[in-house]
Parts: sequence; structure tokens; C-alpha cells
Amino acid sequence: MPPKIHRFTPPTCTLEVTEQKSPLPHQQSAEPAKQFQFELRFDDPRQATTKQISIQGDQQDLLQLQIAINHYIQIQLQSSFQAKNLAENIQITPPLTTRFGEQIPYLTPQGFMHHELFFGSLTHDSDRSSIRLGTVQLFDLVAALEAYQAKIQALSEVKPSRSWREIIPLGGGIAAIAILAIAMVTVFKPQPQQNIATDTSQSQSQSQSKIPELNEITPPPAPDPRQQAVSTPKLTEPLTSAKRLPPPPAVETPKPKPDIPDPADYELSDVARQSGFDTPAKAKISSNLGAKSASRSPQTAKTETTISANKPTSPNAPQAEITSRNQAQEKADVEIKAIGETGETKDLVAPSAIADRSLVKPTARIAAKQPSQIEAVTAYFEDKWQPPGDLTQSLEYRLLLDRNGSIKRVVPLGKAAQLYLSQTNIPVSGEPFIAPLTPSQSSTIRLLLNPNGGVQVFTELK
Amino acid sequence: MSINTKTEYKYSQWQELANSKATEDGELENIKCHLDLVLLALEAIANIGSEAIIQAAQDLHLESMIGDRLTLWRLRSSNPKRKTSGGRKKLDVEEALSLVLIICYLANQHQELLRRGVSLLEQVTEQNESPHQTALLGNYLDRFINYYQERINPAHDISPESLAHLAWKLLSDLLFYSGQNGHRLLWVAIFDAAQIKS
Repeated sequence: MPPKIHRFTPPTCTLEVTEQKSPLPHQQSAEPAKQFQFELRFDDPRQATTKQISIQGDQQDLLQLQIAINHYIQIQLQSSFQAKNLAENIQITPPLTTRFGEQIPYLTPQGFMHHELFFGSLTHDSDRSSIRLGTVQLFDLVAALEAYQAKIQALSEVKPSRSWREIIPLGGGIAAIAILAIAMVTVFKPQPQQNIATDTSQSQSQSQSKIPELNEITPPPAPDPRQQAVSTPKLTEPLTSAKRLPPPPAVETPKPKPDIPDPADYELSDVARQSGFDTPAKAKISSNLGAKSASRSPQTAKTETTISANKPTSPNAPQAEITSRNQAQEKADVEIKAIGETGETKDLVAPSAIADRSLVKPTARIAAKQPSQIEAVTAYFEDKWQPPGDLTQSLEYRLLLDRNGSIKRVVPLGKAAQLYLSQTNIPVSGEPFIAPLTPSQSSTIRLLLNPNGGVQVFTELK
Repeated sequence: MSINTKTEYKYSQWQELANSKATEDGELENIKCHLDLVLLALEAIANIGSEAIIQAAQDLHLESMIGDRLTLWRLRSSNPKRKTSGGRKKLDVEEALSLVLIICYLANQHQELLRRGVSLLEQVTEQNESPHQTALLGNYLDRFINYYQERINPAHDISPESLAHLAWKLLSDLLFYSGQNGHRLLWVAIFDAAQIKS
């Protein structure tokens, strides 16, 4: 399997992280056997390409670099508020240096607006032991590292291997069928979803092999034959779902060059991320859980319908609670509320959790009151949303609805949302969208389209 | 220690800080002052007023904290260095959090402008030129100094050079606050600074 490359490209640097899976499956540990190598290039437009510097290393090196930069930034920011620096016009020098040892990278200020990054033991191709960075370059470097951090967190959350193993033996046959169905639907989604699909099908086959002997686990991942095998039964599914699939957009829209900076790394507002629960950039554990359950809920609901049709009388089947769409939506809302309640207890909660609570709670309440409108919009985009292969950020839109249920106006939130608007299949020219609104229903909807194919919908009070 | 853990740690510390009596006279006073200054710089560079701040509060569903001009004014007057300060109740943690979120939200909205400003500042510094000869930076500095002199008590006045230095420093800080983890950076920075100062 070729190594997977994650590329983070703010305007003045490029961070490339190569994910290398170990060929040997880990039998005892549930942790993914992964190694990362990184290359960081400083794309200084003032330098000739041949003079541009790059740094290479492994995960540990990248971690060291992150720690050094974060520490330095924090000292720099904090120095603005120190009376000494305000009263006397002195050069800002950090009160303590970031140098922990000779081998560890560190930064020092160079004048008013520049910073010197010393490489330490990092492998680099410069003839000097340091590089001089402007403040904007430093900001871009921080942005790239944050994006990387968020991506890694998101990836680790996508693999629910341990929890699946715990759940599957308990769930029994019906749960296994449900997971198979989810895997089938997921396999048909385009690339970004592929991680999930592979993992899910992997878990699925684990569960099947686990029924005879519980301790034996894991077939090696063999995506291609499995996808073939899984895709065949899909043909026998109801034609209604097949009809709604839009034509593949990849043919019409050429991918941008990978080296072009991804504008989506920058402008999506913090609020969007905080309230969006699921952006790879943010990757909060609890909010992602909510997002996953919300985005998967329609598929689960379909599964349940087929099961109950096959077994009309199964009063004692506890697995029949595999959640209708309403229940799943409520579950997501409950999880969101739980974040809020955690915040209210004022325990050890990050400020972002408070932010999430304050931003999300009102919306979540409204969502719980109006399931039908949210359901309708979610169902619409579950069918229509085909994330482009190069999309890495969530797209957020504010939809202003007419009373007749059509879309009056679409407000993209952030530049990424603007850029990808044409690929979202949002019916912008007054076409029928959802049923006419009742007086109690909100005319403003916030729509979050995730790069993994997930869709989240919230109502807004305006 | 990861940034998340660090932030949670800081938050829990701030919770304790906010509940302790010493805080009322010490650190929180500094925090009010810091937040007000950052907001002032943001107003100056983006040329925004209280309407934009109130709108941001609405966008963030923080109307209960900052619903109108009066609440905003009262909140900002909690800066002890303000001319209008006095009699205002103390800024609590929730209010401070709200201000942090609003600042970072607005900074994010004006990120391109901030980036341009900081780039320009880098350039003129490199060339040993005066930043206020460029339109963007000149206007920013004028507004910053005006706002500062209008609002901050002359007893806390600082020299014009220091004030300009503060303006440039806050401008580059704002760029970092506009990033995706800006609110965490600001939160930890004001907390650390308040602790060191008092």
C-alpha cells in the first residue's frame, strides 16, 4: 500500500506528513501501528527555490518542534501584557529561553518582527544551524502545525477499533448486519470517507471471525476484494436510494495542484469550528462523537427499516433499538448538551468547551424541538453531498429559506465555502427544497458539510 | 504536556483564581485591562465599532453576556485603567471568556487585513522605515493612539514611543489570535501575564 501523504500548505510553508503503516498487524494492541515522517519546507518568496530550506524528521522531531514553537509563541504573546514592556520601550526578549538542551530546537526573537528558529538536532538542508522567520512566516508555521495536530487527532478518532471490538460481541447478529450495511453505504462514498469504510469493514470481518473464538482478531486489511464483495449486494437495495445519487462530480471539476495553498486552512471561522463539532482542524473528541452519530444516523435508520421488515415479530430483540433517525439525532443533541452541562459544572474544562457550550446549546435546543425540518434538510444533503476529493475542511453555509420551503439565499461562511459552493448541490435558484415552513419553524438554517461526507444541520434564530 | 491539557490546566487554575479573594484585587484586574487593550487594537486596525462587537456576540450566541451597547460599555469599563472605570462590578470568568471568544472571532474575520498589516510592518522594519508612513499602518496607529487617549486614564499614560510599540506588538499578536487556536493562545497569555504581573 503506498504511503498516505497529508499536506498542509499555508502561504509561506509546506508541511508534508507521510503516514507509513507498519506491514505487520498488531495482534495485541489496539493502537494503530503507524509511523510518520515529516518534511517542512519554508517557501520564502524572497529566496530562490534552490535556497529554500527544508527540515525532515519523524514524529518525535515534529513534536519537539511543536513544543518549541508553542512555548515561544506563548511567551511572545504574554510579553505584550507585561508592564515592563509597556512602560519602557525595550526589545521584547522572553524572560526565560526555550533552550532545554543543545539538541532541541528553539526560537529567539530577532529584532522587533523577526524570529530565529534554531534547528537543534532536526535534519535540515541549510548550511546554517538556524533560519530567520518573519512574524507572518511564524504564524503560517503555527497554522500548519495546528492543522497537522488536528488531522492526527481526527484520524485517530476515525478508528474505533477498540470500541467496535467491545460492542460487536454484545450486539450479536443484528448489530453485525447493521455494521455491514453501514459499511456498504460508506464504501460508495468518495475518497475522504475511505478510511472509515476500510476500518468499518475491517471491524466487521473481525466480528464475524470473532463469533467462534472471541480472542482471535483481525484479518489483514484487503480493501479491494472486500469492496467488490460488499458492493454487489448494494445492487439489490431499493431503487429509490439509487435514483437519488448525483452524477460523480470529479469528472467535471479538476483537482487543484497539491502545492497550491489550501485557502480552507485559514478563513473558516473559529466559531464555525467550535460549533461545527467535526472539522478535522478542531477534532474535539466529544463533539466528534456527536458528529459521527449524527452523520451516520440516516444510514442506521435505513438498516433498521430493512431489519424490521424481515422480522416483523421480534418483541424481544434488544438490538432493534439501533436507533431511528430521530433517536440518533436526539442522541447527538444529548451529547452536545452534555458538553454544555460539563461546562456548567466548572470542572477541568478547556475554554473551548465553554465556547462550545455557549455556542451550541441554544441551537441544539432548537434542533430538538424541530426534528422534521432538520431531518428533511439532512436527508436532502445526505443524498446530494458528494465531497470533492481535495476537500479537507468542513464547509459551512447559512441557508435563508422562503416560507414555501425553497432556498431564498445561501450565505457561504468562509472562503472555502465560497470556493466549493458550486459543488455542494445546494439548490440555489428557488427549486423545491423542503416542505413549506410552518410558522414555528426557523427560516434560517446552518448547514455544515464535512469532508468525510457527513452532514450537519442546525436551525438558527435570526 | 499537550496544548489541550495545558489549556484545561490553565482554565482550572483560572477557575480557582477567579474564586479566590486575591484575584479580585490582583490578577483579574490585569486581565480586564489586557482584554480591553487587545479589543482596542482590533477596533483600530479593522476600524470597527461597538456594533460589530455586539453583532459578533450575537453570532456567537453570547447575547446574555453582551446584548447591547450599555452592557458592552459596562463590561469594558471594568478595565481599571479606563477613564470611565469605577463602580462597575468585577469582570467574572464567564465575561472574560466571552470577550476572548469575541476578540478571536473578530480577528478571524479580519485575518487577511491583519496579515497584510503584519507583512507591511515586517517590510518597513526590515527597511528601517517608519511604519506610519504607510497608509494602513499609519491609520491604525492614529486610531490606536486616539482611542487610547480618549479612553484610558491619563494617570496610566505612557510615552508616545511606548504606545506605538504597544500598538505594533498588539497588531502582530492579533494575527496569532485570528488563527484556529487563537482563543486558547489569548486565554493562556492573559492568564500567564496576569499572574506574573501581580
